[in-house]
Amino acid sequence: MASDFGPILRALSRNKARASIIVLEVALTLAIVVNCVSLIKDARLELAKQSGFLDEDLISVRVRAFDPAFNEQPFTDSVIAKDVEALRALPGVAAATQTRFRPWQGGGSSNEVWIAGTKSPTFRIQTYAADGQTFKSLGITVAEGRDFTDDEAVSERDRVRAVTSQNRPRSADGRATTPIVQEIVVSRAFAKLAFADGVALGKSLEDSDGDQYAIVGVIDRFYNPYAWNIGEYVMFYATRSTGMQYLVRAEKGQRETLLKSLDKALLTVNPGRVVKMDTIQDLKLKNQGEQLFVVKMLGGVIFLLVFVTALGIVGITSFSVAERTRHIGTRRALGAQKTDILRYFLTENWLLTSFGIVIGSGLAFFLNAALVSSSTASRLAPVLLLVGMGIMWVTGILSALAPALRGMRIEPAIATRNV
Amino acid sequence: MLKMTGIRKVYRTDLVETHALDDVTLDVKAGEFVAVMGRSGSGKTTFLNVAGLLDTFDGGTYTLDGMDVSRLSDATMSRTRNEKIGFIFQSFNLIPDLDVFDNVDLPLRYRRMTAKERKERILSAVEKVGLSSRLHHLPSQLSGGQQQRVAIARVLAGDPRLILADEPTGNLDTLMAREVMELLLKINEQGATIVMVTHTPECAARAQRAIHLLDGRVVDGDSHFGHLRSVPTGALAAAI
Repeated sequence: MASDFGPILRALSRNKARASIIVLEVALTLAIVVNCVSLIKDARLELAKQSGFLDEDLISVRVRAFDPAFNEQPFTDSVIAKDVEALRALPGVAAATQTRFRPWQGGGSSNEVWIAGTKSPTFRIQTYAADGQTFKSLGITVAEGRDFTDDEAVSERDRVRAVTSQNRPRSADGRATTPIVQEIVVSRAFAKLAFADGVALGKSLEDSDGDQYAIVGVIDRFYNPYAWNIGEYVMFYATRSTGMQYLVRAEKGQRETLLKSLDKALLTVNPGRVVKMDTIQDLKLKNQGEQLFVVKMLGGVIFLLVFVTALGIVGITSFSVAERTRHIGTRRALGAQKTDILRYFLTENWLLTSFGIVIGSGLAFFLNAALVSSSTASRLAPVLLLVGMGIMWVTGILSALAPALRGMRIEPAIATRNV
Repeated sequence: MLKMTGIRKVYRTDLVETHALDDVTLDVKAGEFVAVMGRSGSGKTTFLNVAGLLDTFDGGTYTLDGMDVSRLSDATMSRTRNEKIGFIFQSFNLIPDLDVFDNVDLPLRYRRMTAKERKERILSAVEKVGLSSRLHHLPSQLSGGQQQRVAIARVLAGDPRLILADEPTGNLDTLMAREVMELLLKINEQGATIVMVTHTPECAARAQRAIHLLDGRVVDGDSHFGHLRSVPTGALAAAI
């Protein structure tokens, strides 16, 4: 049969309401579905990320004191030193460190820095204290430069504390007139971000206080999820912090045993405290739980949207077939074969779906641009849109098939019925 | 042109068996204008459906333009309808979303004609019914008489061997009905065979002969309108 496009398009232009519903439905579904899939893809990439640490062997220990003696910092410092010794002495402990850093906690401490001597660009970077066993506890080694020592952590703590315990004189621009210079270890990802040649060792960073950070080491792999995209950027500096927070790495297969003995060891050092332990795998699950929920929810949204759109097309096409029963009978009387009727409805639906897809593609990019500008969503991959278009075409055709087949079976004798 | 012998059509439900056509025998020659009359329920529409290959039948033989159409597949029936039969319906049966051009184009599209040939035929047919100026009007923008003329143009464009008209003036006022009848007569004079179902004696009188159906049977297979009027009583009178 000659191309049906012309008459169908002309007929559709005279039935804008019905046509618009399908077009809009398809367009909105395509735009939302491909962006949902894109978000799921982003989330899956995040979920697939590895910290680079020996997560399965790590235990986070947080201690809260109720003994008033802990109100005195020197007393707390002495207990911390004993705690670290006690933890390292426990059988089954591969390494233990005092640090606030907990992999997969989904946040932490951060600072804004820039390359010393410049003012821009600025970089947001995670910052954590480290001692002589921080990297060993994480199961990583310093790839370039040097590691810290426990003695260095203690002496640095005392040095920085001495400076910051008093009001620091500042110049008109707010920077301390006697800046603190600390040595730091940064992640490779940050080195690549901050320095064009990727070489960070021997270079210095600066913050808004005017304090400087000399890079003495680089670690290869670091990842900690964060509220914004600084998950791979970190600097560690040598110090012992004020809180009783430890990270313990168990020897292979010893984690569960350690979980039973860690708190006893710490309470033996000082019983005036409450000890809370979490495995890093639990923290990771907790952290990723939200993303897993989002993935499942978006998956549900996609399924529901496609399902509702398919139902909508089935409903509208069914109504359209029922409404045009007599017209179909007339077409059959005039010589249309059953396949002509089937083709008519499928072509009509294909055209509407295609219009919807064209509009939906534009909407998808528009929606994606809004998501990219307001969140960490990535740009929409054209291949994703192509797949979405394919799915919508198939959905459109399959949804119209059953009503079209019903239309195909309408008898030509309907044409002569006058009621 | 149209030869039916012993045609039977039975509608069955669980409880009732209705003989819509019962041993109908009819021979319409090429170029004839035959009126089929009968009251409501007499089998006129069933006769039209069977004659127009819109419906199958249960017994008898039917030859259309020399072709035995007793047992055809659905596809062949569609093709035969398209090529040999033109329909004029009481309710015009135009597609409301299509303009005059596209409505007349419909049967030609199903015949897989080229766009050029279709256009020539459409313009010629629409001109013959005097609606050239309304080519891109929708049915809703036309009067009843004009819509029926579009339906006639649709038939003319297909150039069928047989035209089946189902109460073609049933929905028209007197003036328009007369116009349509004149058009049909003109078409018949040009050689087309027309079988027209009607319950209006005035319309039937314009045909060359009339046959009368009663309870699915032909009760008078060869009456001219004058003969019809001369039968005042009995079944035939009731049929009228």
